[in-house]
Amino acid sequence: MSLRVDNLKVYYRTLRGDVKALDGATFTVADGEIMGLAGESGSGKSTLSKSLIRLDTRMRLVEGGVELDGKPLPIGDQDAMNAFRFKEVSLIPQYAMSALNPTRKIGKMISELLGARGVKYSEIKPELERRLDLVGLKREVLNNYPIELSGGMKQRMVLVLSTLLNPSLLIADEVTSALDVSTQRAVAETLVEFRDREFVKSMIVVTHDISLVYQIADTIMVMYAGKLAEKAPADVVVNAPRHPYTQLLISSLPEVGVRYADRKLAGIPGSPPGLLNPPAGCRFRDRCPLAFARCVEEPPFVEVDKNHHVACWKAQ
Amino acid sequence: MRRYFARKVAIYLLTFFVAVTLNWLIPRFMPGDPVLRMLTRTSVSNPDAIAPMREYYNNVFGLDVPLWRQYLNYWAELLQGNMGISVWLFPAPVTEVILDAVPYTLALLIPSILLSWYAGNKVGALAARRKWLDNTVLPLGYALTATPYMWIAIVLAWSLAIIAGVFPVAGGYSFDLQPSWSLVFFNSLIQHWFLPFLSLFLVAFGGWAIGMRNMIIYELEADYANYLEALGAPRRLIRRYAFRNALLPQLTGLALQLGVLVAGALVTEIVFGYPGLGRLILMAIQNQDFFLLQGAFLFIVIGVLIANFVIDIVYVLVDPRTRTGMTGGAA
Amino acid sequence: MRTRPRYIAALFTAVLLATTACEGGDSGSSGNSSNGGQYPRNETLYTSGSAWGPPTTWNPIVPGYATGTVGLVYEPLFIFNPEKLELEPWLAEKGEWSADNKTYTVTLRDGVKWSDDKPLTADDVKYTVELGKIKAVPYSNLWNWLASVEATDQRTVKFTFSDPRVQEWENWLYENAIVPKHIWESRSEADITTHKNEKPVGSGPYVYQAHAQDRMVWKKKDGWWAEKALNLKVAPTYVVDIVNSSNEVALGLLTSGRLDLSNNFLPGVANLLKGDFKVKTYYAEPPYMLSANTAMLIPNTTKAPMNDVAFRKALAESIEVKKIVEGVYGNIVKASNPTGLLPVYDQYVDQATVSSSGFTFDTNKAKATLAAAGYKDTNGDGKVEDKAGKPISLKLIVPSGWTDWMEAARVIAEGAQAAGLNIVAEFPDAAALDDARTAGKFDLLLNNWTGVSNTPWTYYNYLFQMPVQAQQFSANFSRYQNQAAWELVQKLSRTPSSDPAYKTTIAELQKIQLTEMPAIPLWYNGMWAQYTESAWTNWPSEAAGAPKDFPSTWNNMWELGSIKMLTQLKPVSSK
Ligand SMILES: Nc1ncnc2c1ncn2[C@@H]1O[C@H](COP(=O)(O)OP(=O)(O)O)[C@@H](O)[C@H]1O
Ligand code: SF4
Ligand SMILES: [Mg+2]
Repeated sequence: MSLRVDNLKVYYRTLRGDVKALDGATFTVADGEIMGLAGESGSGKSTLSKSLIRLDTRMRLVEGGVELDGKPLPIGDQDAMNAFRFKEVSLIPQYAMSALNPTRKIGKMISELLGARGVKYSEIKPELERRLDLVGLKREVLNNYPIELSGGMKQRMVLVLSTLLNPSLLIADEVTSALDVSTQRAVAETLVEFRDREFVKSMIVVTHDISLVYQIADTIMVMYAGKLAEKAPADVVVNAPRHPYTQLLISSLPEVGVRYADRKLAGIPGSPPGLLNPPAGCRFRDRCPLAFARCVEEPPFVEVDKNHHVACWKAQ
Repeated sequence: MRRYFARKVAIYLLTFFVAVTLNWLIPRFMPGDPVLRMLTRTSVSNPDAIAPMREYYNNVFGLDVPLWRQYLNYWAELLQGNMGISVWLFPAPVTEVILDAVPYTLALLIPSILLSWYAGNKVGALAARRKWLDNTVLPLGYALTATPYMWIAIVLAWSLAIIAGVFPVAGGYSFDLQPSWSLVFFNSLIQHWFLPFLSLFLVAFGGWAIGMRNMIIYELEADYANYLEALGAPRRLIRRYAFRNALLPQLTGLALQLGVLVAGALVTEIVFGYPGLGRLILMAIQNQDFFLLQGAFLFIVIGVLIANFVIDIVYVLVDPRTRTGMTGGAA
Repeated sequence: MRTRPRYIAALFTAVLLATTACEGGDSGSSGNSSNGGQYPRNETLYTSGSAWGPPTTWNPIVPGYATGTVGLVYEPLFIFNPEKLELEPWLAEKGEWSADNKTYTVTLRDGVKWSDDKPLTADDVKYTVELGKIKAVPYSNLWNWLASVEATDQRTVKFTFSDPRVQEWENWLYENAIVPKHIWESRSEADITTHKNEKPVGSGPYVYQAHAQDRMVWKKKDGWWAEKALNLKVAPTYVVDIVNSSNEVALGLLTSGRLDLSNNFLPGVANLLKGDFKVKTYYAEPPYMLSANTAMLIPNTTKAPMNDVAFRKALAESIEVKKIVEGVYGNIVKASNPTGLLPVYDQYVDQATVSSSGFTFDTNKAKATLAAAGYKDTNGDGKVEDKAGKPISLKLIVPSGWTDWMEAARVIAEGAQAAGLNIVAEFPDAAALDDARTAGKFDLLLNNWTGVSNTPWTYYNYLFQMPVQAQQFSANFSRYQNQAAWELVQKLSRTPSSDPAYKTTIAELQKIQLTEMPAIPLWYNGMWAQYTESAWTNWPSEAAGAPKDFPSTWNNMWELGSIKMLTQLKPVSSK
């Protein structure tokens, strides 16, 4: 088991109270697994992925724990966590376009970053260059400033940098949303290639575009309103979802496998509940066509089939 | 790069040309007649003397040729470092009057601009990370920038010079001294320089400190800072980057500030009885000494152009974004 | 990068050290005259109040020279003693008119030397006078009535006049300084008025020592002729004249004992005198200052209604001068006599004429005068219209920044408004005002260019000078034309003071002035002078036994006797 997340609760502190953005997540990601993380905007995807690498100042670890490769990951302790970042857990941020310091040459920035992490730049440089070759970047980019690179080049550069120290877990947050379709595909393919070459052991690929993640992900996990709704192998999620929310999500898309537009997950009437004081019971209840009396109780996230977890009373 | 600089130099030369031309034009479109000034000054009481003296002073000020010739002469003389004769300080040449005053003004302006910029940025950056500093520097900085400069100057002069007697009241150096390469003289120079310098330093300092603090806080929230944090980079490295990036807008600000500070020097020199260009400008205005005014403005224009050029170069060295702009422009 | 802040810290400590070191140095240096380039406090006189710009010229021929150039370095043949109202021989030993008043013979003192040790001779005097033949030299009009000048021997100069204007000549004699021919003769005609004349070579008690942007320093020279001839010795070894930056700075310097004599206008000086600031003035009581010149309201008589004498009279009656003297000046000036003659000329004032024709402040009388002359408020706006019924709207201009005059102008406008005259005060730049005055493009203004001199002739010349030109540079800004008055002025110029006609001519002129009001005398501006006794005592004062010289460093005051103040000062330590 590469990653094990156990009943993780991370809330945002606000003046009006805690926003329960991630309210008890339990799941695992296996070695070599690329897990797509889907759900509409505001469902807690970013909260989950940030929690695994760096809580920002407003986030509070309320409960639960994370293990990586059998060792506990001290996500609530910024300083202790530092030792794991980049080396064990790494991130490709949503904002890859602006993730590089604009006033440093890329090579210099990398060397300074590595130096600060106790890694010798000169020792790792050959490997760095190899990986640049792999993603089709000229080695000269190291002598360039970020502004001299195109969007796609920057994306690949960040990809190479984030994975340079072969982390166990890579979190890619909406990496493709800012790119055009062909570049999206290329980046997605590169992610798979990196996994195949074991630059990273496992990956969480956050997206709200199931169609894209379906092509590269081994499994897909769907979130709804700060809770896990369903996790299963990618084709199961797409072809035989068990959670009513997933079902609606999938059916609202054009035919899977064909080119589908960027419809997001907006086709379901109603809107998710606020997370400041979410209602008890199943959080999808208000929108769920199958809702029944039991749904005022919270459905547990249980394995209904092999490697298929669902949180719905109807699915059990 | 070469092309970029060639273009820059061309722009500066053009600016200079326009500035000189405007400078030449202004007095000629302003009310007031330098020759009349001189006639009033010499209180001509002899009616027969008026016409010949008019002619005489017209000649002295080079006003006895057609306008186009005056313009060409102006350039010709200017290129030899000659800016005409002062009316108010007749018969002193403007160049000489200005060159006598400039060392004092530069000695005030350059250190106060650079040190306030340096110290303001340092302290502002520190304030961005130390709460107690932030709680003291920020209100202090706002107070300093919000106070009219005149007040700061007067309060300093009044409290430290006149009441406490710790600093001298007026002059470029003690009135009982003659310039010499002695410690006493040097001490005296510094003492007389300090308060006017401090007043200029303080006002500018507040602005820079606040600017820097806000810029750093903004930079620390920037994407590259977040990414570096996610990759476990130490605070120190991130701060260094943020500081450097925050410095860039401050550099632009510095270029903009230069012109304003010359105006500041005007008040300083009057409040502290300190010699220099500012006082000359004020007196030149009051006395309608357009030739001196022209010279002083030209000097300021040259100063500001040079300063901006230097900052341009520094900017190119520190900010790669301008450099790509350059290649982009050249391509 | 890291070590830079330490440099700043070092700089700050250096400054602090310098501060404390110099404080020690200040107290230690006084009395130690062997100290390198430092002027010992007890040998140095610090003055200010005349220079407003850096010293840039030492040419005594054109105005604008550094303070003391004429007076301390260049000297006139005579100086004027305002106490006795007579010329005192200075470079000249004596001067005598011929019986027919056609020639004047000056005998120079023996043994007067230029500071380069060459003797001062009759040739130098002749040369200086003949410089007036150059039109750009301010005294060129001398040659309208002087026929020739002749050096009959080393020490004798004979002046022959085509029109012997005795009073004007005597005025010339003390107002103009003699320059050394051997230095000046090599200069071209243009150079005479454009040369800066650095390191001036003069006959006076001081020589150039140093100058900077903010100061002029003179050093006493050995063997000044007056030491032997008049037993006069200037006391200060150094005279440091500080260039003014503002009156506030002068006040700061004065109260902190760093300035001995301030000839600045210090508005709150009455309070200073009461407080414990050790500041002294000529009089211990109001008006504190001697009177230096007469501030006059100048109507432009080429314009209606200023061309109407009744209007000018009414205007004079509407002004409450007392309010200016007390409210604006806090009693440091005196109200003027209606004749405008300075207190030094009191003996010439014809009291009978003053009481019959003089004006006093009386708003109702002003209204009556206006009404009688046909100025009525026909449109009911509370202000009178002119005789044709058109509204009157006049501007009184004084230079912006001259705060006392600005206030005074407001008082004048207020008074006029109260009497029904629509006059408002306006404050253009000093130079713009100069232009307006010169060109006659104004309604009303204030002017005080008539000061203490050897003769009231200068005052009446100022009032009545003719012909009126398109541009008036120095006199008759009212552009008032009265041939009879002008002839009297010229007559006065030709009348020796000893002649009984001198006084009667002045009386006749007074009568014209009081009935015609070409200008309205308001108050006597003070000869601003405040001194401290931190280093020097025996300042001029009204007190018995104290020197009575003018305590002023203003240019042209030296030759009115201020130079003698320097010979009377005593260092505090030797008291
Ligand atoms: N800084 C914050 N303060 C308060 N609430 C926040 C903050 N950031 C996110 N949230 C809330 O947390 C929930 C989950 O957000 P997020 O994890 O960004 O969702 P996603 O990435 O799926 O769009 C949302 O309801 C959002 O409003
Ligand atoms: S638990 Fe109930 S409400 Fe929730 S998804 Fe299942 S059926 Fe719908
Ligand atoms: Mg998100």
